[in-house]
Amino acid sequence: MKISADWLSDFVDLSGLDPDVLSETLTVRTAEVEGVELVKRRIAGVVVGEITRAELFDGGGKPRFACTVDVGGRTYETVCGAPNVRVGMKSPFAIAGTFLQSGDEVASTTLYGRVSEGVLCAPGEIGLGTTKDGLLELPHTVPTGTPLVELLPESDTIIEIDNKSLTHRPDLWGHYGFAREFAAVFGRTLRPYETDALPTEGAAVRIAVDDAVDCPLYSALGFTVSHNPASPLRIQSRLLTLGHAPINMLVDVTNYVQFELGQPTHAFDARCLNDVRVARAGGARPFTTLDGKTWKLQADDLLIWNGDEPVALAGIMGGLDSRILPDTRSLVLESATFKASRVRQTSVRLGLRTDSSLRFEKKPPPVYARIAAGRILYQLREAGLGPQATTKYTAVGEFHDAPRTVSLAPGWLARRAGIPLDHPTVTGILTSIGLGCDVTPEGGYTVTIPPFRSVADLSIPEDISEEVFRLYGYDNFTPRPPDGPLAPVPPHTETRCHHRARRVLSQGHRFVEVQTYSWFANDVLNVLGYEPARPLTLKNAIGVNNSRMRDTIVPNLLAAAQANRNVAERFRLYELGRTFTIGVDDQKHEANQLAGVVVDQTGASPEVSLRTVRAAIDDVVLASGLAPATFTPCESGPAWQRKGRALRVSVSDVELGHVGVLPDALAAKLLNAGHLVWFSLATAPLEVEVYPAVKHVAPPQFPGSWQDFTFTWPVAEGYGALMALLDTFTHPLAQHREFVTVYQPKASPTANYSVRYLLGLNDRTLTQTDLEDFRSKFLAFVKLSFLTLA
Amino acid sequence: MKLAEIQAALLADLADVRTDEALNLVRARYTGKDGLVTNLRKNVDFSTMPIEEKRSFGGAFNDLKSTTDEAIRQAAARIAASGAHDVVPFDFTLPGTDHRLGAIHPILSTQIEIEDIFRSMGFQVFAGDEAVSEFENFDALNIPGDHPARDMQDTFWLENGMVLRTHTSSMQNRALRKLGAPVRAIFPGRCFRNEALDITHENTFYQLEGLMVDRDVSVANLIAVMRDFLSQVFRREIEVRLRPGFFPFVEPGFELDFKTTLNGVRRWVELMPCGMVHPAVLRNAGIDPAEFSGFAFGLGLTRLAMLKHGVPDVRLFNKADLRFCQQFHASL
Repeated sequence: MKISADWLSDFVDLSGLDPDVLSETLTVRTAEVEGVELVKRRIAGVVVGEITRAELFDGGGKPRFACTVDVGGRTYETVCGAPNVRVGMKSPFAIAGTFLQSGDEVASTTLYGRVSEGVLCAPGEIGLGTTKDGLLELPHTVPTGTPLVELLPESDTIIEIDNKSLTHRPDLWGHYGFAREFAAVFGRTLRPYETDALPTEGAAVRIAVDDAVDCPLYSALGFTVSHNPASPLRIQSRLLTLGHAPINMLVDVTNYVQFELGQPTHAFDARCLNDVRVARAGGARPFTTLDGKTWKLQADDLLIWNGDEPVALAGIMGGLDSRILPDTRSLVLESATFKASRVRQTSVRLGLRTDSSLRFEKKPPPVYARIAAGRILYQLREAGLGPQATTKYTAVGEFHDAPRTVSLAPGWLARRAGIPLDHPTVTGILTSIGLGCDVTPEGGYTVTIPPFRSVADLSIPEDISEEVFRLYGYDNFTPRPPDGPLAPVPPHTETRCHHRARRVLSQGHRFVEVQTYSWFANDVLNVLGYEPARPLTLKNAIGVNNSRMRDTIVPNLLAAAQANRNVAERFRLYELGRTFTIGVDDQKHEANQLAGVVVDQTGASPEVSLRTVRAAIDDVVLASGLAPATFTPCESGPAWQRKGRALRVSVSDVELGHVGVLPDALAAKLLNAGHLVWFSLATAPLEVEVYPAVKHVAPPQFPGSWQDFTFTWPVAEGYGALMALLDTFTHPLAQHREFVTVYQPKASPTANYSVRYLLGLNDRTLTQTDLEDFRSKFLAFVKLSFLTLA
Repeated sequence: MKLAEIQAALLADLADVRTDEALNLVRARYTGKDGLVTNLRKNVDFSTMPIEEKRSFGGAFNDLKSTTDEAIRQAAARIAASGAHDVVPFDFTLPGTDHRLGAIHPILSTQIEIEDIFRSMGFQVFAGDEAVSEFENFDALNIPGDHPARDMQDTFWLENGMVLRTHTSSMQNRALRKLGAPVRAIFPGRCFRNEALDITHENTFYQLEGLMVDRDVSVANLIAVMRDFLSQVFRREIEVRLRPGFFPFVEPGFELDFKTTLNGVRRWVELMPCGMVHPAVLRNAGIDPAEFSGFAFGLGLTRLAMLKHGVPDVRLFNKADLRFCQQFHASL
């Protein structure tokens, strides 16, 4: 929102304050200033001129006027192409020799064969906004010949405030609220906001509010005016400077008071409104707003009706048919409070965000409705329109204008601040912004909140503390580290175990951690042929393709593998994150999953990649302080898990997850060549101990020995089955068994698996007899088990 | 050649030996398969030799053999001591092999670092769900029913009535209920907002919420903790300032700025929202606001990772692009 220093100066004297200081102070005390702009207006030498002759002629193929302009005492000739030129109109006139905003000097010359001794000015030509479409029309009451510098300051400072920092301060959506802040911050006097008394006599306006929730207060006043002239230059220039085109006084005054007070109002032509009803649209229907656009309304949208005819989109914009026309002399002024969320939902849906809707979204206090009506009457009277009430000021709803009180316990403010705050400081600050503050006999405070501060903003002691603290200045607080006993901080096992798994993979196994979205993309699922069984589903996904939350990370990683296939021939990715499902109990369940892929497009055997992944999983499990992971063949599962090329991973019979080689058909779709090995593990079983205690085993005190054996064994049965079989052999000498190597001759259904037994005793050195005993018993076991030694 | 001559020749040859290669030649000449010493023994016909002579020759030969071996050994030791072996027979400047270092995602490594700092300041870590009830995400935090944040264009709503948490503040209620007061805790995690993507906006991002509740926690405490924390993050004394900001779950609420040099200009940069915990939030978690007060802050982990690593576009974080992710060596 933009505020004008010139406008503020109606209410508070800002003289002597540097714009940078204004901006910085406002930012740390009240609301964030986004920018400060110094606006300079080229109006020296420009005077009020009255057009006494306007002769239409063809000037270079376009209609133009040869005008005579009276500047009080003498007249000038000029040529003007503006569409709104007419005899009797007053407008700024730049006499030859003066400079326009563009920097061009006005010349005395001949245009299209006509004498031109000056320029009739559009607003943009003298630095009031940028519009150059038509002449700036001045009210008739301004004496001809008056220099503009007597009517208008030659410069203004425009302060732009970040709207986000004003969401809770409806009182700051107008200049007067900021004037109050400036007065408080800089210790200056705030001038009163002058209003005219509202008529309490006469017929009431007929108002029916069908929906008091959406419209808690509706007030209206009927009145007539003597005429509807151009607004005073002060009003026009301020509207133009803030980017709003002035139209005429009756329209401008509602905008002007909106920017002054923060309360939107609407003026209807009384010929179109005599029976006010506030009600919802009730069904789908079109409505045309005064900007000429037609909208499709829904049943819930709130409208102002004249009987059965809708005349305004409540709180957003008036209707085209009931707008103020040049001949309007009788009006109904609406000043109401509409529910913030109602206004917001309609305006957001339609994409029709107006100055009015923005302000109603901030919940202006209801009392503003009455103040705005009184201010509008004041401005109309000051501008000479002579408003005459035709009704009494009529309201349906509550103004909530009784002051509220909040009690602060003795010492509470200073304890909350963490710094000393004495009574004069506190009462001085609160009274400077219009609050009442009495020190209680016990040393606390009774704070009185005037109705112009919203209930949502100021209601509880904490709200009062904010007013005191911010105006005291957070920069005046001495930082103080908290007291409190020294106590150990328990580690968060889940998080720390996740970080450990990350370190194992990323620091020990060359994996790169990535992040993917928490939802699936359907195109990937379609390629894979995967359908989540009971997915958690989004109502408003970013696209129809992304409505299902992931119940496994694998598909997202397969998509990532595909996306990276031209980046590197070989790579390893993993993600550790949440998965979501709807359980059989119909409740949402979340679990952490660690999933990864190893891609090799070089034509190398998947065996290497699979054993790479197994080693990584072994290490993740080992680092968790658990028993070694076991890998057993498993059935087919989701599309990427195919029997014969997938393994179940478990630890002490608890399933961790699966690992496997992606089916070739899928690999061919996703990769340029080669293979992909995937894994997915539940992390919960790994989240056991942050600091596992590895049990010490004493190294052997006596020399041991070893013996190697090589078995010819069916590959289809696998290493795991062979080891399981060997596990059944025990001997007091056998301390440990190691896998040494495997050799599979080409196209052979069997391979040679070599294992090594480490032999030893804890109380003496082995003898030849010992070794022979082991060997003979092991060979007997081999024979009995039908194992074949290679 | 006589034994004595062989011995003299050997010692003469060895005297000139400086390298392993030269020594090997000498060794081959005397003790190799066809060496002078070896042949000496090979060429003697012991079968016809009288026993006395046999004994005498054997003794002399053995003496020669041991003298030879000893002389060669000494020569080898001399070569080793001369430093000839310090030069290895391969390119000593080749690069390392078998690197094991991968990468940790920059947001996560930032999170780990921030966790470490807060742990050192007595804050424990807490974690919660990403899909949460409307109560946890909004009501518990004093966010009114008609607040714009609840609109479909800001929040991801789930078919089961829950929401994807829009901020880590959604964990405040659960953390306060579980950990009770007094408490110092941080809760990092993934958050979601239904907004259009551009270089500074992502629908999926990380925050780190911090919460301290105790008796008489003050604004002055908040400023001190934030200042000390940021000084640790940036490894220098950090100047911070608070200015008014509005969030329904704190009162008063602040925007915290820190002073830094951006594009050569020393200026304040907005870093994180924070504030004194709203009494309604404490009450909603069963904590008596008359006894306890506290502060909360919401650090943008994604934003901090952008600042730390100079990442210009927030969308890079969720793309799983190897070229991006592999840059961030796992250094923690």
